[in-house]
Amino acid sequence: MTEEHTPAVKRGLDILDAAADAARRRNRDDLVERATTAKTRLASPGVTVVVAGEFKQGKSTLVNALLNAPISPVDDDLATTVPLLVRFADPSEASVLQEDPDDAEVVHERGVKPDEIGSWVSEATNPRNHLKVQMARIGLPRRLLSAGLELVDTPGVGGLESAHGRTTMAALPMAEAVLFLTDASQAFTASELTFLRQAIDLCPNVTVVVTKIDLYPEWRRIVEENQRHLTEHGIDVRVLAVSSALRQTAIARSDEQLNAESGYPALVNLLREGVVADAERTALQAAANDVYSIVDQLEAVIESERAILADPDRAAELTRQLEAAKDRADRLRTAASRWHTTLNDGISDLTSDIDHDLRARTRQLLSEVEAAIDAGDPTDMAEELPPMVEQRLMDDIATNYTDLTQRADELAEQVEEHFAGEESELTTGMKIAAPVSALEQAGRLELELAERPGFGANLLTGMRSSYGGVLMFGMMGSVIGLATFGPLSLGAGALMGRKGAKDEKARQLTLRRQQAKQGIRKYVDDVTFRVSKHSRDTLRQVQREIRDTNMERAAELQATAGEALGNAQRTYKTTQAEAQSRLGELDKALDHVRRVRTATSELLERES
Amino acid sequence: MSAPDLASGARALLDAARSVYAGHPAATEIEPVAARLHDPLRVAIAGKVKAGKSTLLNALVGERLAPTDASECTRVVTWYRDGVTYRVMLHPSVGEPVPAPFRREDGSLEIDLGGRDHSEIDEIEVEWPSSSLRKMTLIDTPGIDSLSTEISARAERFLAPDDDVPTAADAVLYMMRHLHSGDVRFLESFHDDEVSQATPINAIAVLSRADEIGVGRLDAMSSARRIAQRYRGQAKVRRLCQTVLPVAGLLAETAVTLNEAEFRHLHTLAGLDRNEIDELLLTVDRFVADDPSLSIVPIERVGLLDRFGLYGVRLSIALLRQNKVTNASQLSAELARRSGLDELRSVLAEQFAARADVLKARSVVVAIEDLMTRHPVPDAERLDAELERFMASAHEFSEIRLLNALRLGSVGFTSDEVEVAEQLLGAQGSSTSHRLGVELGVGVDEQRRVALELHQRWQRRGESPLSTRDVVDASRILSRTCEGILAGLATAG
Repeated sequence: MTEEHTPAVKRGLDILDAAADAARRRNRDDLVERATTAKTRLASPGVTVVVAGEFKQGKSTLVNALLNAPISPVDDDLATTVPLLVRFADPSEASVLQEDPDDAEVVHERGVKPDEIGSWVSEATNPRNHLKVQMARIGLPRRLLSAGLELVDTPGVGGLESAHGRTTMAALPMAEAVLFLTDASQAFTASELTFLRQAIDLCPNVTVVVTKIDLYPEWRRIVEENQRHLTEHGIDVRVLAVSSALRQTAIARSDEQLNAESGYPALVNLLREGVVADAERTALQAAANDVYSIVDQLEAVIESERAILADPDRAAELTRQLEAAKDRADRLRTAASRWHTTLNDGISDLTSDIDHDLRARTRQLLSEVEAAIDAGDPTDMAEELPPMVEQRLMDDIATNYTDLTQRADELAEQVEEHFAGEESELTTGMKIAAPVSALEQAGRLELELAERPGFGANLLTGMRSSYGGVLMFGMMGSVIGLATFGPLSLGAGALMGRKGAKDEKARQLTLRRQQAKQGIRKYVDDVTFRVSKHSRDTLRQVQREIRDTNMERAAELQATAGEALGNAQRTYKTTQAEAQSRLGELDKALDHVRRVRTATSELLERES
Repeated sequence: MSAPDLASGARALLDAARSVYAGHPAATEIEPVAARLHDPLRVAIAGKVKAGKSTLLNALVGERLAPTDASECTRVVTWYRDGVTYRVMLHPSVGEPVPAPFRREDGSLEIDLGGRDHSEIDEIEVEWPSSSLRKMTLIDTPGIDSLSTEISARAERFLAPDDDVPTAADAVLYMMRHLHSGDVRFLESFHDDEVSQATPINAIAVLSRADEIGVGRLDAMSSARRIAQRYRGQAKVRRLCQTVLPVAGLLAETAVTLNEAEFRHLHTLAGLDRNEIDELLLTVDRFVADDPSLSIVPIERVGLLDRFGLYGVRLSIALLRQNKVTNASQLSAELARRSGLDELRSVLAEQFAARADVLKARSVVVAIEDLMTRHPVPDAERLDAELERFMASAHEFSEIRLLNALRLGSVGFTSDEVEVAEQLLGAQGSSTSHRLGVELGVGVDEQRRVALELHQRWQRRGESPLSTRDVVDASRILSRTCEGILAGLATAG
């Protein structure tokens, strides 16, 4: 898999190489490792864009027209039933995530032919998703995708408030951006605006794309009206207008003018500049944070040695300080450290809150549904009740899950703040002892630390890239509908007269109500059980990710403090001449390390 | 069939109501109910925002009466009924109805609300001398899922006021752009299991703006027909409405109001070079672009687009180029056929108009039941007995009940039996030949033979010891229907 990188990313990768090189010279394998990990992350950022919208607004057509490939099947009637992820690959490749026929909780990834992917995701060939595909993926050699862009074509069947609409909503926290499609036949409906309002909370980078502008003479007025609705509701998003039919004709004829008329250049530009470039800036910032951390630590070690060589009289004092620093670094790795406590307490609070919230919601749902059953005859609701329950449950779970992701993010940030606080105290503590430009150093260091954004988003990459939400909701949809409500015979009474056979009718009704309630309770319990297990697993994974990352960094700091301390103790025994030549070496090393930092700052400045 | 019986039964019921409620303040409610028996059938056109309700209303009236444009324009429930003179009445929420001045702007009505906000007006009543409205009064309703929840709530209040309150309409045309869960929920509220309430019998679903389903391609309507066919087969839809028909509303409206100038413009465009016309028809923007080489000026092309839509223009030009039509009236007829309007009209005539007496009688029953619930009077038992007698004696009601039960899938028939039974009960149309499932024009003797055969079939089914109670009851109703048909044929012969 080869991807093309922008000059900024290339420069960032070079800088990370230089940082790795500097760490290697100081024999710091742990820091080399960190630079390598950062490189991998920067090289393929994975920018997910979810294509959402009501049923039949042209979502699949847009993905096809954008990439000039018949990826998603397009039909006048039903189309996509499974989320389809389109990303870069050369040569093309495709796979589906399919549930194990025996155990729905086991998912297999299965390679398929790229040109057959359509048959896995379309209602026509996979009605009601009987193939139990949770998600399909296809990789294509397209330039637009080469910078890590991943498009997710979502099923929009049955309205935004339906189960599928909820699936889309659940995928949003994982997405960098959302394209919300609505066709030019009419302005926003109430349900579309509700969706937009909720979407913007989950993923701030939303663009409304008005489609089919080739067909509706009034499309400009519709775009304006949509904009007015957005302003009235205080939703601040961009609005673009496109014609996929025109784009396809334009590509077929290689007609630039037509392509411009189709509105696609603006969309492509938005994806490149507004989305990919945005994500690139974030990725660069994250890489820069790694570089700064590596450089700070290397610098601290070099400077501690240099300080003692330059002023051996202060050795005892410096050793004391470095010992204290090492103690602090050791403590960072123990369970007693502040970040550790915050993390452990936070996760256990979150686990029980999320679980409690889910239970409260399902209890409420069950009591409402049971009241509805008691008020009527389940036979009359046999068609509508199961989808209604499914939808409500999905709605509750989506809200619960969104809450989980948001709070996990907050927790990660909080832990990071605590960790960073301790880290900065530590590095500053190690360096402040150095007489050389101590003030200047301290000042700069603080400033830089203040500039760093929370690491939360980066820490949770594992959780994000697993598409946990999407998978979970794929799993939801596959839970078999409710048990039937018993025999449908209404008895003679209902058919003939209004007053006959009342007792028999009442007895049967009670029975049907019981059956319906049992069926629904079993279904809700089953789904709740699986979702709550999934949530616990997710949170455990979050906890592990944060803990492992921080532990690694604590180990680095420990090594740094240990090395600095070792240097301070060793330098007692050097001669004057040796000291002079060593000082020269150290100055060079320091210079090298600082140049890496300067290059990083320059790159960030250019890109911001 | 036995329409006089139904009407006299309903009248007897009304007389009983009058005497029971004599002197009661609620007595004033009876006369409007009685009036419904003489008035044309009331058909409401309902559906989501911008589903094309007003456009379809115009197509059915054959005149551009209801204002239509790309934004939501029907904000108040509006009645269009036949009258001797042109008149518009406003029914404010508070106070007496007042006449309102109006003018016609480009065909459609512009009503002066006299400075009132539309939220202060309950209903607008338009009286318009029209042969189409003589057959049925049409009621235009505001869209559901309107961003203005107030407007949306009005439509729901009107169509499905509260649980047991009768609706003002006898039948409903429900417009849906495609089957949303929201749509079904809405149909549900109109539908209720109690026979006297709304049933699939009085609702027809229209897959509206059908041309847009195929994003304006020339084969768009066949796509729409396929989708309507699929919906028709779904149990969920079957229990909510009689059938689903695709209609391209704008095309239908234009077909019945096509003028010579429009035909001439299309004719000129159809004469252009093939490439030139293809480029022009690529997008709406191109079609109306400033092009001095075209003899049809942009404003005229904007006009065409307004009236036909891009699909309509594409279709008309294709028809002209292939010489399938050569004059305005041929084009008008062809567009009316292709838009699905002709089929809708014939289904309306079969399902609603031919059944008008039953539907109206049913509305009377519901209204009286409602009156009794809201205003209990000591003497109500007498009225209740009358109601019960009427309901039980009118075979048409039994037929409707059975048809509903069949639609709900609650009778233990085989699918083949369901099909034959539904047809016999008039699901395909209530004429004798429709019910018997014979070709039009088949002789009386042949019809009698088929009717006798059916009669025997249902009698046997009813007498079979294996039949469950519901099947026995249903079969009895069906054999009685056959007897009615045979009696009708005897007088005809």
